Amino acid sequence: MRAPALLLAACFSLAPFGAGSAETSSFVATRRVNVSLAFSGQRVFLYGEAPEGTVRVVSVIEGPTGSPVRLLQKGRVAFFWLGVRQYRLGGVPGLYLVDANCPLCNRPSDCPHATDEASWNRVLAPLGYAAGRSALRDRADLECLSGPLKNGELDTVLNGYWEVQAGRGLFAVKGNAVRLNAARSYYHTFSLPPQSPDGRYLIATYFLSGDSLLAVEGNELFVRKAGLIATLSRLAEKRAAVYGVVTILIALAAGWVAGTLFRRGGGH
Amino acid sequence: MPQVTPALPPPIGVHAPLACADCHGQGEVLPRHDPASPFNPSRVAVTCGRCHEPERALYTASVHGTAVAKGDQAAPTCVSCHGGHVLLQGRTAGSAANAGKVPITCARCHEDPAVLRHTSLPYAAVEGYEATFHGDALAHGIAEVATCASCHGAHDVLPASDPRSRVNPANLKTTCGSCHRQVTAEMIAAITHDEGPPEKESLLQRLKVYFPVAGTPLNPLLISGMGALVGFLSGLFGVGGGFLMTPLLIFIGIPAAVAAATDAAQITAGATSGALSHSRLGNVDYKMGLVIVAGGVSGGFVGVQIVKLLRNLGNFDFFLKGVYVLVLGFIGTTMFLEGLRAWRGRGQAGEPKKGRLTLFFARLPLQMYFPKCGLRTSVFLPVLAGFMVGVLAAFLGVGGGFIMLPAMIYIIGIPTRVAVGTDLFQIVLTSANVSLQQAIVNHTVDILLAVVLFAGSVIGAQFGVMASKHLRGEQIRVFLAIIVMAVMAMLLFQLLSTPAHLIDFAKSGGGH
Repeated sequence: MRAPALLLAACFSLAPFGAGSAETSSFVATRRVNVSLAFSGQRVFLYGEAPEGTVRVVSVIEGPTGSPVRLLQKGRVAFFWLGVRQYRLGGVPGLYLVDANCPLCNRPSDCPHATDEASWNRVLAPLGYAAGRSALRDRADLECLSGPLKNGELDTVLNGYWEVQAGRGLFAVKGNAVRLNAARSYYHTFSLPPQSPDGRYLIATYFLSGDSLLAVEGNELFVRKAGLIATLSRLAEKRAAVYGVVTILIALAAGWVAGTLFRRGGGH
Repeated sequence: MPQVTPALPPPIGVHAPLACADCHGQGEVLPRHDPASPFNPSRVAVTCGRCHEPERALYTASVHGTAVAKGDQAAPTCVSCHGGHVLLQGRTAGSAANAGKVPITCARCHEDPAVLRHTSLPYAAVEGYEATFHGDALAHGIAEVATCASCHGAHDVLPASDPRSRVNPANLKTTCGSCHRQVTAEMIAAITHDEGPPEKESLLQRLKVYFPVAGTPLNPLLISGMGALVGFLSGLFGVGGGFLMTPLLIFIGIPAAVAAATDAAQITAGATSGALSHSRLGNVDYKMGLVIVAGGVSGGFVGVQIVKLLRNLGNFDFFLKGVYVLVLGFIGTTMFLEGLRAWRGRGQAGEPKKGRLTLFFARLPLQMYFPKCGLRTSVFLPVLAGFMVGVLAAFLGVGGGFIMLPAMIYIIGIPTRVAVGTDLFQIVLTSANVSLQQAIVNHTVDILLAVVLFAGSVIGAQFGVMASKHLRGEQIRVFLAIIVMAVMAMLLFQLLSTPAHLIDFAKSGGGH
């Protein structure tokens, strides 16, 4: 199990791995994503140069790990669907996206091949890395609030959580999203959804030949609130009482103004 | 004062033999943002043009050069594409101008969302190119295939609308003919790689505002519209509308905790607007309202403790919905049947008959007269009613207006119109208190979302009050009963239908 910060440090210290990797590079076009009033998600373009012999490029972006979330497993009891087990899940990032190229066709737009997560993890796992659902499994901290954890329950909960987060665009594995061309250049785009948490994001890009890891490159970017959004968020957190009183005063004023306007307008 | 520049590696590639002064000039080295610096965007082409005059002339007339001359900071200069200190020959594999690299070089700007947002450039030009035969062939190592520069030019890129542009429709045959012996109309018609934004959206769909605490962008007109609808119902029926608004906000993507907390602020505004209007119509009994609030606050405190206990036991969500269904079902059905009887003239027209409970309390000590209600009763009755509703309101996570109103009419015996106005008054106080508590304890009130909701709800509430003047008491009760039963049916459906996710976030229901 590796903490994301250590992973980034490892990316910088371990790369380059082998011959030809002097030409390895990885760049992120946007290092700061500002969450402003008009923010509705952002595409982050990544590009660079893969080492000689690269067959597969796997790129992982991880958002900050937030506080543990409380989950509920629903089950059918009589005619009703009700919560049967409760969990507290910690240690998982707020955003986890994996982009890889398809070594068979290298055609992001219409690749007919299924994503084979296990194939890259066979190479990465012995070195202590992982990319995809199995990476989250390694670092997830699951506690059952309604009794002891059963066998296989971690997988069930993680898979369910993954589906929920995938529906919000926060978790995904795309096996045909990276373009690796004959000149060993690669590029792809991560789509950060509007619900992306703010904080420091780490990007690790793995370059694999058939059965070995050639190099790892690391990048980082920051998603941060800006302008009015930042001011209001900070006020809500740091000056909660003032924020609450201001909200109520605005509410009362809005109600009063509407009531007065309608009276003057002869509404009734 | 001379500026100190950071240490940079010496030039690599074709410029390696050059001295620093050849490009940067003699003497004082100025920062890039200084207009006099040879590497200020407006002067880069001049600096490079000292040795590369033909390229400078082409670039200056190009769309890139023109944009730089106009002061566009995002427009590319020579170094944007070729690099600065690391500048390799075009044929070298690592060069940004190498055929295999050209799409990436162009993509740095043409795929950068920050650039695309501020220009009218197509959204997926490079992505679209990759999907063409040319892009596919290049990806597989056929370096002779056409890249961006082959068709659009390199230093002399011009907009397609310019008659001199190689990709101007009139020149396409010549441009394609430079590689293809035969150029047909079908070939030209098939040339397209500017796919535009991935999702074509209308102006209304694109109009979105990011809400800081909710952490999601939403259309403010949609939210104001929802506020207006719920505000209308609030003004008409004297309810806060939380039982409708909170599920609606969750439905459009607001986190449950933020929806419930922000709704309390919205209810304060809508109820203030409605209460003021009802006050002018003489429908608010302030004395009764304050007594009920006293009971409601203590009931709310007890309710919160019950919620905490149940939450720790687990399965709160089911319990919450189950109680909702029972309470709403009972209130809705009773009110509907009674209101309908009165409407049809089979029962007592106007106001419902005073129940045994009302008559019992009328004999208890601490009698108080409530003039607007035309009612003399023990203070215990409104306090107890307020307490019970407070418990349920905390339990259900809403203001409790839809429970309070029937309680005022059927248990306390307040005339419907006065009950509507007085209920709105007590809602102003209780929802303001809830909103403040939520802001301080949970930080879940989104002020921006609340303001957008106010904009609709305060106006909707006024129209609701106007409409209420045209309805008789029993009609108001029947319509409210229908809404209450519809919400009950929706919750019952949720309990019986298979959920979309068997693992989901535990709801943070209740709490106020």
